[in-house]
Amino acid sequence: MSRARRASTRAPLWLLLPAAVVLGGLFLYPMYQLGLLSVLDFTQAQVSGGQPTRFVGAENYTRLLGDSRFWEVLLSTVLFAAACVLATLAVGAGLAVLLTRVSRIPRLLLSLAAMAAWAVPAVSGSTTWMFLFDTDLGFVNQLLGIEGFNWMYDRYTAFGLVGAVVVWASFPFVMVTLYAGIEAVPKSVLEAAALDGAGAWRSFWQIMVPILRPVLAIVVIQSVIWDFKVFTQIYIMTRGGGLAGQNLTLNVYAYQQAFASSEYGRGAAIGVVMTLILLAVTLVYLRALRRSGEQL
Amino acid sequence: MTVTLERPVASAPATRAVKRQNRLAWIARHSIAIALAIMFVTPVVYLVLLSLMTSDQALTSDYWPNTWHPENYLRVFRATPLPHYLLNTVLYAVTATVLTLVSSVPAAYALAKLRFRGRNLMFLVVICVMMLPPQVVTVPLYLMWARYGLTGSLAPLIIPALFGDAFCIFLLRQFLLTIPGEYLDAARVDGCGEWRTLLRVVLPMARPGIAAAGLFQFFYCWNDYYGPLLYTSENEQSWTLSLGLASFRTVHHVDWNLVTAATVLAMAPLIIIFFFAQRSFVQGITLTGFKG
Repeated sequence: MSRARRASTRAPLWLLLPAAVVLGGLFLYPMYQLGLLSVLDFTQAQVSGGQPTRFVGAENYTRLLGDSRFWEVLLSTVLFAAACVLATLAVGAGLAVLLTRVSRIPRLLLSLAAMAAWAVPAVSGSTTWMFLFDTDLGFVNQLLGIEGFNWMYDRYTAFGLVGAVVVWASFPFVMVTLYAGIEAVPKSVLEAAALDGAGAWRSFWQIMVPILRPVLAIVVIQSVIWDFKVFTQIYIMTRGGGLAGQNLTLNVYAYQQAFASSEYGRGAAIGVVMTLILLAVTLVYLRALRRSGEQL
Repeated sequence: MTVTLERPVASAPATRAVKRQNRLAWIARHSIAIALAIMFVTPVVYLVLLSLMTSDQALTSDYWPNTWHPENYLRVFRATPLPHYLLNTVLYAVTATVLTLVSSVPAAYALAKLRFRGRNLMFLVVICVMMLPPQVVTVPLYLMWARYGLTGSLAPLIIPALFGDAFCIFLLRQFLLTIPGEYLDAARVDGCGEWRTLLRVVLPMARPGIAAAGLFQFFYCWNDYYGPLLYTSENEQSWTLSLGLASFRTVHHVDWNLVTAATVLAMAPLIIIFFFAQRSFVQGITLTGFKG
């Protein structure tokens, strides 16, 4: 017994070592460096050692926060991601329910189509949709009879198209997971509810949703993570942020500031601001989960 | 199909109306399902059709090849560095996935099944890291890899996998929570140390969860565009498929048939893997959800 106890107090350290190293070495240390860089004037000249690094205090931050472009990008990031999350969940959940209610062949077809959409790499997916929505040659414009209409000129059609690609690529996960979850709900429970006179709507909200809650939690978390991190589709479809940067989101903006113009200090300041925002979102979410009695 | 209950005897016309309505609803559901399936798969089919055209026809608005050219798939191998990109992608995806699993499983196990001080804090940190987009810490990481002269190679993409991945740890932990503690206690009573318990008892039971986490990771790496763009764009020798495909759009922009052929080749392995692994993937995720 004493041996077992000793093992179980010491073992976690070994087991956690890899994770501790990643969190320390690849997260906490970069975070520290990030904070440090964000108060320096650090550009290509400093990287190559041509000029000494210079401490500029909050200058990177005041410049960033005083830049109306930054706030605009922040707003469109949040709205775009929220729209993508909602659309993904709605489409995925709707189709999962639809799957349970159609016969075998359409179910197979729909699953296969979703699998194909899921498996297409983000780069290829973006390119393909650009083919389909091409100004002159695109299938969609031909179909709608609007040859010559460029979807990327207008800010909102461009965001809409990128959002459609994001949803197209991420709904299958939601659909497949929820479908499997719904199928796993014991039929006897539902039958009992029906016997007790519960309608479809009521048995959905009072039986399905509570049973599926853990699955739903994973699906929601995953969607939020994915959609706030969208980079590829925007970067490729709008060629790095659209006309005059009208389709920039924070991820692309940070990348451009830091690497396209080699303003590392400025890029670091954006990174710090993003981190604070996302940490706040995460903590609010965790609190909400805990309050609703979810044990994560 | 759905719950059928003996209805109390209803008047005949009412039953007929209900039947009619049910039939209409059935037709509506099925047509919606089929229409959506067609819609979702259109981009993929369109891509395949384009890849089988001549390069002249690919520049027109046709969507059905006049003549079929499956040899495009051979040409793309000779005309572009596709095999090279493919090799890099496989190298990146396979090693990163294996390393991530090896390092994440013990961490997930400790977070799920062992009690120690700081466990909740550590889990909180894992969740926070999971939420952060990679762009956040790129600047310092990039400068660090540049200092060691490793930018332009695949090393900055693969080495971090040695240290686990936050989402992987999270997913595995959720899965491991479903394993009843009695199994672990039994193993300990039999004199297994934590490592033996992990290897002999936990691993076999956690196989679906590990498969799901591994697939997630593999897909992520295969599709990763940001990482390769950041670290390898300066050196074409290290380009992966995603980077290569994105560049095809500009370099080979006249040969759309070849561009699309390369695209089809890049996604084919994923579709195939997916097709076979789908069941265990879904099983892994849903079992995660149904913890006791």
